[in-house]
Amino acid sequence: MLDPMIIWYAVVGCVLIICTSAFVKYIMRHHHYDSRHLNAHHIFSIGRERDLLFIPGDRCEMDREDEEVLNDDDD
Amino acid sequence: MTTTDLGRFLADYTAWLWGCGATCTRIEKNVRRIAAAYGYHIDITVMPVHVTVALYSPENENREIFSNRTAPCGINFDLNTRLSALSWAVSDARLPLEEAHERFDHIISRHYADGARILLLASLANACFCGLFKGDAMAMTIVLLATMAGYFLKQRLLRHKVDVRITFFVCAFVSAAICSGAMIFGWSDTPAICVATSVLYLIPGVPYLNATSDLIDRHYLCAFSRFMDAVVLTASLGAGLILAIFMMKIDMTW
Repeated sequence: MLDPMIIWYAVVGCVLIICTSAFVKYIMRHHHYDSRHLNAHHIFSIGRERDLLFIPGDRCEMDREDEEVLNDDDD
Repeated sequence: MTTTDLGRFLADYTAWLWGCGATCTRIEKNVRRIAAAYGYHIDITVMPVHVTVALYSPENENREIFSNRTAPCGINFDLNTRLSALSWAVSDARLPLEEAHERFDHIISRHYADGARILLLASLANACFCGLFKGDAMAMTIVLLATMAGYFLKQRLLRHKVDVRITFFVCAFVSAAICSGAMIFGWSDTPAICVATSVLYLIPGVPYLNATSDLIDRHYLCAFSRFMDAVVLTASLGAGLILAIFMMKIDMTW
């Protein structure tokens, strides 16, 4: 038989987790004025090196050569 | 405007009016008012899951029958009021059917529920219930928080299309379990009142009242349907409360 105190903590914990996740979703939704913007932001994602490290002089846009190199690396 | 257009509109209107919690008397009056504004007579059959409108003009006694499933939009007095106002607008201003249809589409497509405000007000009301039953200030505070948690869950579960009976069961269990903290931790001197009033926000009062109204108006099938819906919801919340009392070993003779 489970101790009532453990059940109480479990119930309150579950409620807090649900409320927190809803609050985080709410914050994320209201900090992005564009729904497409919202979809583009993920907590976890696979990015490129240049997303993290920007050295002055780097090109901001990826050109065709960069794409080919990236594709070759993937192969 | 053809009879078919008007009949379809009235069937849709009736279905939504029923869905938002209007009594059969109100449905009959409103729909009859709209039909009269366009020079037609109607007979309405309101059943638990569908409505049928028989439309005919004084010149032609042949009836055209239009049927529709009731709209599962949940009880909403704001929607109810606006739909009733539409019937008066049609009657008083003699709106063309196209404009009436346009207004009707606008009314049913609007988002009415202000979730956060309703949650806060329902929680405060439930805390006041606890006070009315002689619960102390701490019990009222716990009921306030438990109701907020339960009502928040209810809103989320219903939004995710979870069955309403399961929703009531879960919410009743959560609210009662949270309120049992008053007994487990000794936070309140009136823990039994705290637990007992924690689920009052789930009592389906409107369906009970509507059932009584329909019963008085001799709409026995609708009255029975609404009454049974309300009884099932009450049984669901009762089951959640009993489970919480059993699991949390709550002594209700406190």
